[in-house]
Amino acid sequence: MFRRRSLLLITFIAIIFFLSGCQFKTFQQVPDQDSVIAVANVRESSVSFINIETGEQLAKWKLEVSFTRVLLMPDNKTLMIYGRQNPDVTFINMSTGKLKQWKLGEGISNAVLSADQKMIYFAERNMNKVLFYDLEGEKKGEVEVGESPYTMIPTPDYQSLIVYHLNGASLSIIDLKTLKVKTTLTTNDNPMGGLYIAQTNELWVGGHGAGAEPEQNISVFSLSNGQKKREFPAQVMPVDFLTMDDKNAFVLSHGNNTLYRFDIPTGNETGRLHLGANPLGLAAGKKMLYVSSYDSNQVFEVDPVTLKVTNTFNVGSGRLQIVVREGVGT
Amino acid sequence: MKGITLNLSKKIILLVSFGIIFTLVVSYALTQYLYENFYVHNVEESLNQQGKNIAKEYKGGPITPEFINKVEDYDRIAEGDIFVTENPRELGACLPFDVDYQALITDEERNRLLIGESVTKQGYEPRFDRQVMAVIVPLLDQKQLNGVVYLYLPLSSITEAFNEVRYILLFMGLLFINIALIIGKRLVNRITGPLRRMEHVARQLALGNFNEKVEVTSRDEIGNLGAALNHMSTALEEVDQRRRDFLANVSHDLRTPLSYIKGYSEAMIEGVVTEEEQKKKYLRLIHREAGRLQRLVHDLLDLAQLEGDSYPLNLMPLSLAQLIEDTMGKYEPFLQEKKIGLILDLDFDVIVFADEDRLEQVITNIVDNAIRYSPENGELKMVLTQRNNTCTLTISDTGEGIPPEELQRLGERFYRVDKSRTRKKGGSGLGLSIVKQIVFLHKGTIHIDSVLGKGTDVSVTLPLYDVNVAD
Repeated sequence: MFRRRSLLLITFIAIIFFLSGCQFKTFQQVPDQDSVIAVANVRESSVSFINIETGEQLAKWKLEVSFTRVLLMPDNKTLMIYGRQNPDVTFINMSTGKLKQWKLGEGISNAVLSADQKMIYFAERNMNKVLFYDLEGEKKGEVEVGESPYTMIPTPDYQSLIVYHLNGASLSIIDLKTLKVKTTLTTNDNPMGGLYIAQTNELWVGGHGAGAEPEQNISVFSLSNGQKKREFPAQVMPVDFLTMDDKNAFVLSHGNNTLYRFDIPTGNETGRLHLGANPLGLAAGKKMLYVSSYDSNQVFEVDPVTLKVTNTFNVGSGRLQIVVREGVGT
Repeated sequence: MKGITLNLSKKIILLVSFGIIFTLVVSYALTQYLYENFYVHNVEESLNQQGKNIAKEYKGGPITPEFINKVEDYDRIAEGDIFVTENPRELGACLPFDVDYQALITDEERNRLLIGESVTKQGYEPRFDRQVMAVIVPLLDQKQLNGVVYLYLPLSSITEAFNEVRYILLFMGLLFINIALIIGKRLVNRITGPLRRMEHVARQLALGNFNEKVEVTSRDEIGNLGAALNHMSTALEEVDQRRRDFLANVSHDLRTPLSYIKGYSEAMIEGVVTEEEQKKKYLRLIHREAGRLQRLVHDLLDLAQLEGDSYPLNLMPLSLAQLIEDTMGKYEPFLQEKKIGLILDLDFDVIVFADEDRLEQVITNIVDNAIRYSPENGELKMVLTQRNNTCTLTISDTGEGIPPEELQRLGERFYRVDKSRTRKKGGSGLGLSIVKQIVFLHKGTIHIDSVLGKGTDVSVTLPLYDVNVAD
């Protein structure tokens, strides 16, 4: 009798162990005090952590599943890792190396934090929806949008979420109060990347272009009336935008490997830097800009004032995206 | 298990067909292989080389309109279609974003181009909506893929070249199969035809029909087999004829004395003969015929025994000259009666290893014949010589001789030169057969020479007694 019971117990433990196998896996820790850039090396399914100050690689997480993008959570410690082919969204704590997962299903192509950093918005491409989750993993709603939602820009007034339809030529503006699409605007083809300029209630829209024609310009739309106001050149295929202050916008055009700096009020180009090979990721630290080059497996540190490369890091293969985590100590 | 039984011709036809089909398949595969390996490879190599030559003109930086013009010029004179693209969308720069656009190259191809490798592909290309062979050569400026040179050739133009060959090959193959089958069938008939004929002849032989012969048309193994079969048929025919003759002879030779005996004895029983003198004469006749019967039966028995597989010879070393002298002693009264002169020229050193009684029988039978066919006042000469481990006894008479055409058949049972069978000169017709058999058993040979009207020489050659072997 005793033997049978112990056998059952062992089997039960074995099953539990088997079912939750990967839950026990831990990753190399990244010290809280270090300022790092986390680079998503999608071709080899790894995330590299590079110390901004020293250029030293602090850790490299090799994942067993494929992913395309990462997102730094508001705690400044947890990295969310996800991909369109992957049914799970994975969270790995950089301090502890521990892992947890949410099961959202396949099709998650992009994720951003809400303006108040209390929600995560997921672009779900298989069903053409935007999913709303709180930080605990509880689903708060979903909104159906146009084809292939990808770029999502929450407005700083917490009122709206702008969603681009990557494989179309339009964008939807979701009312965050009612969780309904309140406006749909026609844009350039394959829109991707952009900036919301709060002062003027303008939206800058980049993209890949129509068919074989690569996008050459940034289109500026007025969200007050939904009209396209103007466009200005940013050759070729401007897809990544960011601002560090109210004055300067940085735009990465991956078609001709160029980082542009524009004066926000006027839209005039104030500088450009030719760098990398098919650069696809742009991120900002406190002082510096970081650009990942997909084809040449490099990350460039760029001074936003002089527009000069101040440092180059070599790690991983197929770096699609970078995020910057400023350390607690800095 | 009962398998499928095929006759030889079907087997050979099957073998030939297999051989032909195998050869054709192998040659087709070989042609295909050569086409794949050399022709297609050659086209691929040529495209690749052209691409590389063009790529050499690229000196880095953005692709200039001059460069594009140059490629367009080249395209006009080149065999395949050549174009250059600098469009990052065509070059798959957006591939990581899963943008819904079919770029000219795939992600994997882009990765290979980025490390400076040319990409070669063969198959359906949706961009051109046809089967193509394409070579893509990267235009790299360090790590930047600034453009590609794309060279392609519709596969149909490549396969067309082979199609022509394919038809010729197919036609030639069919022609070859037909010719080979016709020749093969003839060849098989040539081989198996005589075999079938031989089978037929052998069956006829078994039924006793010796007239059927195989027609020998070739000098190969099959021709030789046919000739051997014909030879066997002739030999069998002869044996059969001799058997019939033998039976006829035996029955005739037995019947003649029997009818004498029966006739004379019946005459006596029925009292036809009354005189004492006549009765005695009849009894003598009966006795004479009974004696003849006895001799005949004795000779037949002897011959049957001698022709058997294991006739026991009582072999011993003996002086042949002595044996001849002793034997001839017994003939003195007969010789004197016929006034025949006897000349003996004997080498007394001759020792043979032989059965004395049998050897005496040999001498007796030959001498009997010689005396029988010699006229009165004739001459009988016996010469014994030795030479090279053999001795030869030649018995010559001055008799009537034997016609040359008869010489060969002497020694056959019941064969007589004198066909009349008058029995005037007695003899059973088996004497020389017995002599031949005894000489054969002693590993000797017999040879007869004769001149018609002058006489006959019978030479018996026997091996000399070898002391070493005997020991």
